[in-house]
Amino acid sequence: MRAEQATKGFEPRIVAFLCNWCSYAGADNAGVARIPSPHNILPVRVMCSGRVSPEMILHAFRRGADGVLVLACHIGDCHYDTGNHRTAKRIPIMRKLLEAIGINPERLELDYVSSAEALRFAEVTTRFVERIRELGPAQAELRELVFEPAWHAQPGSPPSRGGS
Amino acid sequence: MDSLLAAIRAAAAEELSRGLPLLSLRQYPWGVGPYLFRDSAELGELRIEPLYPVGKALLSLVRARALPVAVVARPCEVRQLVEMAKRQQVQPADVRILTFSCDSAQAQVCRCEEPGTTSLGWPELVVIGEESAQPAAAAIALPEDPAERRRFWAAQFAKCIKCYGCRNVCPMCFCEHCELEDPLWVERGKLLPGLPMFHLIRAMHMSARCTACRQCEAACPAHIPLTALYDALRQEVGSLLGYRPGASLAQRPPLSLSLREAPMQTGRH
Repeated sequence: MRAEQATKGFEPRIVAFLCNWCSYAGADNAGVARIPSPHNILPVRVMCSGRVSPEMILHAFRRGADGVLVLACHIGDCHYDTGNHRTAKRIPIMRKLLEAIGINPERLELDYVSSAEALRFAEVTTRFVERIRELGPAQAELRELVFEPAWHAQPGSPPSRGGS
Repeated sequence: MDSLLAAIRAAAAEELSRGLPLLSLRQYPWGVGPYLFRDSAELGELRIEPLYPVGKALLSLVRARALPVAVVARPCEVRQLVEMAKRQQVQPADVRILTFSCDSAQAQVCRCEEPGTTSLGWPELVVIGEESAQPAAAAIALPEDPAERRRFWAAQFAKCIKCYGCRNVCPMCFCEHCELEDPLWVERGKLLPGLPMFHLIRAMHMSARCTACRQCEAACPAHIPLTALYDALRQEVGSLLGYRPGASLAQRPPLSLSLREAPMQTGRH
């Protein structure tokens, strides 16, 4: 395993937003049951997947995430009745935004894991990590999207006025 | 155009005679701006050009509780009023709309898909003049290749001077608390360092609201084709949720509703 990683040389960093009532408990259960799940996952516990705003997802990418995983309750099981319904609609639109600006939308995924589905948590996270490993570092894409104005690097020099 | 302007002035005089103040554009010595007409003697100063976000001016009337009022609005502005009403910013009963169809030349300038008037279920709506406009194609084609798209947007967003003009001009941007002012998301004192959070956040917030009036692009001093991004998301909302912003007063905004109230048409869940 370790040797294989060394050859590929890239360990994805995944930010996973986990719902307090289902997927976070599912992750907990995976740990209790000693089901191996990838260590690339950086869990962020939220009270509801509906809390995960577009700003939070963009912020994760901005701060170096290679992929963002949102794990919600199954539809119909939401602790707040319909919180995950909003997520189910928001994430596809967010993926479209990433696509429109040229970032691979596969870097953002929504899935559903209940508190009892420890095995499913391990499967979903493993699959996602493998997918991101295939895609490579997000920074390669993000860096292209960022146009650092030259005057940022040199304090004191005035911004160029010529052209657009 | 002159006959249309005359017809609008006549309809406006009728509203004023009934004691309803009228919000429209007026010729000032320095240019054209919004004005609340109360006296029909001033109606000679009434203008319908250039384009101006009347909905934004109406919001200040709403906040000042200076209602009811009549409004001269273009079709895109009527759609904005519909969206504002659905989001509790204005009561339809408080606003009487005088609307008219844009002409084909204007539709070309605005890349407008729907320059003609429709009733949209607004309770008090008067249509002035005739339908004359040919719809124009909306889309600015984005590059096919993702890497090309990244470079395209990098060049566009690099021009941004963060004047917030696109937000300030937008009638859909009525939130008292704006995420774009949160220093956690959009850093202050810097021109878009790193990921262009400002534009991506705004694009997400516009996804089920934007009525494609192109006022943000007109206001942008850097000529960023903002609505190319908003259009892409608007189409996604259309195909995913069957929702077209401003199309109907009865259809509620889908992103704040459950799947039972506003189901998804495609995709799995």
